[in-house]
Amino acid sequence: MASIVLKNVAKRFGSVTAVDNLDLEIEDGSFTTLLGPSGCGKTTTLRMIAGLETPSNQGEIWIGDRCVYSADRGDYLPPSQRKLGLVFQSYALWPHLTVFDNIAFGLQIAKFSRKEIEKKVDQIAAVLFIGELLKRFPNELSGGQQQRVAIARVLVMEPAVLLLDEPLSNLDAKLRMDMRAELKRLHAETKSTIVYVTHDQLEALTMSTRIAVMNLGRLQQYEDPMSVYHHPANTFTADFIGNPKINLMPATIRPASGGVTAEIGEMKVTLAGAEMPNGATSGVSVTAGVRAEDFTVSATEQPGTIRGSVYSVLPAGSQWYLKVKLANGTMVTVTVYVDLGLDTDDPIWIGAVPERVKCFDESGTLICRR
Amino acid sequence: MNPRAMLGTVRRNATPQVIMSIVLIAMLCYLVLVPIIVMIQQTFTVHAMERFQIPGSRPGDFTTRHWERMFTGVDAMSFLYRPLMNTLIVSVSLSLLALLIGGTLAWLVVRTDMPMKKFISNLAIVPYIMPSWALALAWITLFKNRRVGGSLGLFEALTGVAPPNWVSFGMFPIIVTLALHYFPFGFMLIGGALRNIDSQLEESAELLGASRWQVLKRVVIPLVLPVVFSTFLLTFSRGLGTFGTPAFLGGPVRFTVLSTLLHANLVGQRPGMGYIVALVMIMFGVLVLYMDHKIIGVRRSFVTISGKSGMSGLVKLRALGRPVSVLVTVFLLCVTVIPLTVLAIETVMLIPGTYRLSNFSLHYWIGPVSHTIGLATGEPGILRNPAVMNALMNSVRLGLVVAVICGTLGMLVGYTVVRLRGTRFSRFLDQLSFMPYLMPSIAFGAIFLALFAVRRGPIPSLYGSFTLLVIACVVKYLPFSSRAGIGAMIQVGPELEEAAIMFGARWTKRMGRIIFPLQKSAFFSGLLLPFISAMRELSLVVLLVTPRTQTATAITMRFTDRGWYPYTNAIMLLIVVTILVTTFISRKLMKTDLAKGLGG
Repeated sequence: MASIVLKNVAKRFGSVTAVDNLDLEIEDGSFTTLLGPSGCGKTTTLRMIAGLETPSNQGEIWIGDRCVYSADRGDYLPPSQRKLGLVFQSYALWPHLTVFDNIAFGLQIAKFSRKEIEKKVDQIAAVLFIGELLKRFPNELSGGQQQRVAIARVLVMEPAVLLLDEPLSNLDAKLRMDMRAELKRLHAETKSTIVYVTHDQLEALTMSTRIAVMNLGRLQQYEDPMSVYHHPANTFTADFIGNPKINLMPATIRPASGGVTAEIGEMKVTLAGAEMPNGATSGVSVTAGVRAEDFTVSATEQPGTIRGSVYSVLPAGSQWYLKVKLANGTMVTVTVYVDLGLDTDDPIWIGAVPERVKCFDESGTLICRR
Repeated sequence: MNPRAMLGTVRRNATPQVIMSIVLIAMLCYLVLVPIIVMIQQTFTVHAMERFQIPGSRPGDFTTRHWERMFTGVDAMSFLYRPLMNTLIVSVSLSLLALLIGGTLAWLVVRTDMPMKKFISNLAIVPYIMPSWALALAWITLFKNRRVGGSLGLFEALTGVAPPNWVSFGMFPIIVTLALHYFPFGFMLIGGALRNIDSQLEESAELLGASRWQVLKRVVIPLVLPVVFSTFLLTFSRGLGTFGTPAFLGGPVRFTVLSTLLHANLVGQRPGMGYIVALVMIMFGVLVLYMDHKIIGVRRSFVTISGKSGMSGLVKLRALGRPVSVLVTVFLLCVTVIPLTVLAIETVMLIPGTYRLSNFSLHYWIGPVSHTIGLATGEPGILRNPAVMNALMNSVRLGLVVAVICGTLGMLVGYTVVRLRGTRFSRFLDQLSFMPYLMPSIAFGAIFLALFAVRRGPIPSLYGSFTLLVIACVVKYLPFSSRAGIGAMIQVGPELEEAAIMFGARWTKRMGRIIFPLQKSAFFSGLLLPFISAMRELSLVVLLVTPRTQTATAITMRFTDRGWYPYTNAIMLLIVVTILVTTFISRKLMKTDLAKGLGG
């Protein structure tokens, strides 16, 4: 069990900067997800922790109380001595070895006795329900089974840290759901530190204790899932997380008694307890972000709402997605949980749940956080 | 950064692949680039035999005389320009002819429903397995006439019609026999390209309303074109560097090409002029490499991507199917089985040119030393001739040693190139190891002659040693195995190795436990081609052999020069049989695939 600390680490490939001056502290025993679109540097970060990439001559990396990389002191600990396990996206099972031999490989390298190897492999195989498969070859297994073997192969070494690189992206949707639950359970049982790389925001939200959102090699936000969802640090995070996508609209905020009033067209919302940026006393134009489920909808005009017309209705079983064209021309997505019997071009009035409205300044940074 | 940090950086970067790439690059540079400098220097030097022709000079003096004689002297026409023209005409024509034959066969086998495809594709590779001049010898046996060839050819004996001189010897038969030897290149490479085209590319064209012919013209041919060009360049440079065929078919009528000119100059103790010829050939080699790289290298890639979906429907030949397949089979038998039969007949005719059953004799195979029987050569029959048996053993040994070294190096090159992909090391090593592929063989031999004729620093003179033959063949055939190695390594993703790194497996362990077991079949495929090539090589080794290191191929020169064709043909048959047996066995035992290493 160990924490991981990255201090001012960077990785450049030629002229491309994959990871840019990254500082990150991963707590002992946490399930931390590195989340971001492809090319954001998340996998490179993971590989630097693993030791498969070395940072471009700057910064330090610590695992537990051991410094595994330091540019200044010239320290570098090879991957095998870092006591961590890495599960690859493609699983990287050796096709010429049986499941048993795949799992036993690390133990053989570490020169365990034959008896111990058999015992350990059998134990871990039982935990991951692959005891029946030990004599088979990887290409005779289903995707989910291969995944379990890949995990067993690293867990058998009892690593202090488990690194997972998009381990679920090659599985079908149903299996992915099952494996999410199992991975989370595995985390609870082993209490090991898990670093998980994914581009799937839902995966990150459901599994992690903390999410590190990355973009263009930089850390955007590093908080627990609910904070990341409800208080996105900037428009990138707001936009990247959540499905359907957050609605970003131009707005004006003004000081009001007990907080700030946000005006999105005719829609007016009072943000209780919020403060104006830099103590401004007059109106400031901002970008307001409202998630689809944070709108309120009514068939008649209400105070503080904006008129719109239904552009199209998308029923999705337990909820309905409405595409609504607002009076000022903006198109927004609204989620409702009851059938309002709406039809195309029906007029409706849209308001917002005050405590869920987010405001971003010109640079896209979250302001008025309450 | 402090010194310890520097050390750390060095240690981290000194991965096995970086160390290996440096070693391999240094080695190949010494074996490929240094000799060219030596050759240039030799062309400006007075040589021992020439000191009387250049008054007042001593061996080793600087002179520009060789260049003047070759390029501007009164005899420059016959010294250089005419052989050069001959070479270009022969190489271009034979390449076009070979492309036409190979391309047609490839299309028939891959894209039509012609019957007997499997048999035909197996048969179509056989001409390439035979030594290139087997066909030349068969041609001589069949079509020689009494005016030039001395004795009667089989064709004249059967029909009573004497073939004209231009059919018997010279440019025409050289072009035809070499084209018939090299067409399997076109067959395999173009066939591979046709097979690799993603059918979705064609289907989408069809969905947009293109007719079959339009699909062929607008989609298939443009996709295959880079490979066609590449095959042309490959055949061209092979034709340029081949020695046996022009020596046998051109020699009797004094038809000279660059390769025979080079040989004559070096054998005739005129290294200055010989190396100029070699440099001219190397220049063509470099030109071919450059064109291959610039024009085709970029575009070649899009043929090989794909592989997801199958091929689109085959062209239906309908009633034509059977006649076409019979025609193709007859043609292929004509260039494989029949020449070998002709060679065999010649070896059992005691008096050459007399084709009667009463003339049948195994004298040239198992006869004793004799100055009265048959050609009265004073040589024992091939099978009891110690010199020949020694040469044959040398060839087999050469083939085996070269194959093992090539296979191993090829895998290491493949590993290094693929693992360092995207770096300058990788590109340089890739290109360097590919260079010998398109170098004219005999010029390559000349390079090694120049490099190892004398002791240079710590590297001893290797002339006359078996090692020299091994080195020359290894470097020349490395492209086969490094191509195969690169192709195979691409299939092995780095994660497979990284997963082992995570467990602390050392490099040797990773190679032994992961990489090699995965590469076994590719490794053995990589062995076969160098073995075959070394077994039947003449052009490359003809300048490097000495009586002690004679190979089976080179010893045939001794008999051909004197017109003792039964001996030449018998040795040729032994070589062909050895190669065929080896190919067959390795195919059965190790499932090797010949075409794998050829994907140039």
